[in-house]
Amino acid sequence: LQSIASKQTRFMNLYMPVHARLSRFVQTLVWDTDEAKDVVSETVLVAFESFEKLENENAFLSYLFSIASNLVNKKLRRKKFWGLFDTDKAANKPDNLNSESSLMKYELNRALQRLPIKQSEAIVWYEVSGLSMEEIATIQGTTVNGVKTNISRARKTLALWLEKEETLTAKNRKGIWYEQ
Amino acid sequence: MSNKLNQLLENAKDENPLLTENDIISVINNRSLLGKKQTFFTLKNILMMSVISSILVGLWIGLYPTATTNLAEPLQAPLPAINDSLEGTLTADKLLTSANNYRQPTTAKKATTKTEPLQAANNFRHLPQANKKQETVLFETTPFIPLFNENPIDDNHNYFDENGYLILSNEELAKLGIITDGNVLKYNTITDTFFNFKENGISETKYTFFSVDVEKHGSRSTNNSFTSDSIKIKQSLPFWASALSILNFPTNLNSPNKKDSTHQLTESLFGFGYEKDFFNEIRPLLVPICVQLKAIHGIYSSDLKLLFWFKTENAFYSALEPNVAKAVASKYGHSSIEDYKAILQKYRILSKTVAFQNGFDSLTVAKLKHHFIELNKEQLKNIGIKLSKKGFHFKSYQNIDNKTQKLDVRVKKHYTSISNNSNSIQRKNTPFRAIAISDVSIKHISYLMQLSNSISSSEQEELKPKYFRENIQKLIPIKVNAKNVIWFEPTEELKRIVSPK
Repeated sequence: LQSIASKQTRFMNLYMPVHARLSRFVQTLVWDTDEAKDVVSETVLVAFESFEKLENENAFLSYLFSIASNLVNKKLRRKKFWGLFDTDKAANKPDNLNSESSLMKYELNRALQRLPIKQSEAIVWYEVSGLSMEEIATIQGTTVNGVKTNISRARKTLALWLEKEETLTAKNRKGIWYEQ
Repeated sequence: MSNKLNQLLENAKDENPLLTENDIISVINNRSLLGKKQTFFTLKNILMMSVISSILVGLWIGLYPTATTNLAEPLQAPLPAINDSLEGTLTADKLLTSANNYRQPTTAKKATTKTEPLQAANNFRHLPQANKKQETVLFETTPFIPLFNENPIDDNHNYFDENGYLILSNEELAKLGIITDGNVLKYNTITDTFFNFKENGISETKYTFFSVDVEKHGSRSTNNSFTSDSIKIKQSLPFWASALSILNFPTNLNSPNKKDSTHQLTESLFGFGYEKDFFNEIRPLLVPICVQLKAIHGIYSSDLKLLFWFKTENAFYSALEPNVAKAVASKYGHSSIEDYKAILQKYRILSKTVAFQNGFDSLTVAKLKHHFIELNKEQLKNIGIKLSKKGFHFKSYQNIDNKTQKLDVRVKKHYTSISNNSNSIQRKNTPFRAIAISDVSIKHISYLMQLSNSISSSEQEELKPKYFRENIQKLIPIKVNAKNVIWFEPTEELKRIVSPK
């Protein structure tokens, strides 16, 4: 029991400083609040269970975000598969769009789903979670330049898509409908 | 636009964490108490399980190769007991003894397999002997009898089933014009039926075209009379008046959605003009060929048995395999055209008499002919008759049983089609009610009267001719063309149209 308690203390000491960043990452990519909570809990559990295997505690951040990345991707893949039967999606009306903030969050989430995984993760980690380029490179197993390219491409694609969306919304308001 | 992106990203950055520190601690604590998550169905476990189970099955089959044959033996024991009980001679003691007899061999075999594995292993070593034994058992239960043998067979029961119907292969059936693959069937033929003949000045040479189709979507049989269509006659089978009868032909299979229980099974006699007496008389001169169609799930509840009756003529025998032809000839013999003609002639005369009984005498016909009304095209159109180059088309609507019944008559050179259907949509009720359509000699009459559905069809069949015969003097006969007359109810509207202005 003592060993478990000490393990827990060590884990919490390392985890709590990055908790907010991890939570933001998961929340940005996983739209549903309950699902996002599940992913965060699952990440914490998996990280805690394999914590003893972690040799260098300095690598905790990349260790934690790698686990989170895997779980988020797993969730998104499943969501894609079951997405055919998503009634909310079919109605194009998310139930928790109750404020301006959540509307913006939803818009960002939709835009991010159009990007390749590496790009979406890179931009969220950099812009939302506040990870450095080096940290992202370590997690993704790539170079800093690679991360820079990914972030830059992601920005371009997102900007273009948002612009298109804006035009479409404006035309829809005027009563003109276009095939996307 | 990057401003908007920045705005969205800033908004996401300001989000509060979903879980608090306490939540995280509780998650970890709960997990620690539960222990490490373990999954049973890993790839490793599944592989191990499948290997172990296959080894066990292999050992079971290898050690007890004769287990299945041994199980069959005790089934022979209870048969005498059942027979005895049926005769009412079996006592309670006997019943108990027979029950024990039934149980003993099973328990004995079980004991052998359980207590003496070495003996079972010995059986396994003497595998050829065991196999020999198995083969013997198989031959006893399902003897193989070849359907057609290269050597001539004196005993011809192989070609006939228990009812004496001839059984042929699909290839041989195809030679007789019956095309089947065991599930579906197609058969077309043209015959000279005894109702239609050329004799004593009646210059109608009519043939009848019969078609039987059993398809996966349903079944259909058609029976169309037509005047000398030389192309179809040339394409027909070489057997003069190929006779056909179908037993248990499903009449109501056109809709596969209907349940099987609603299908009616009837006997249809094609090529005999539905005349059973004639068929019974000619039957000894015919060979019944049985075609068995396997049940198709959702369409036929049980297998279909179709019987095709062929005349024992030389043309028929020449289409069969020599061995089969020999066997059939020894059973049914040969018949000549004269034999058939003699029977046909008898029924033709009968049918002629019947026709005269149903018709009118020449004096009445002459009188009626005098009253035929001829109208111009416009007048005919007003009462619903449209003339065309090949014939005419007549349509009328009547309200019966709170429904609108539509009568649709199409008369063309080679055929007359009369359809009668009803629907609940109310339409105009035309005041011109047709009772019958006939030829100018009032010999061939088709009744167009529309009666309530509450009257049974058999009653309607009686009522219609009776009404026509009794009221013929009152009815208004309108001569549509040189051949046809439509007999109308004398309504005021019709009288107004036909009366001379």
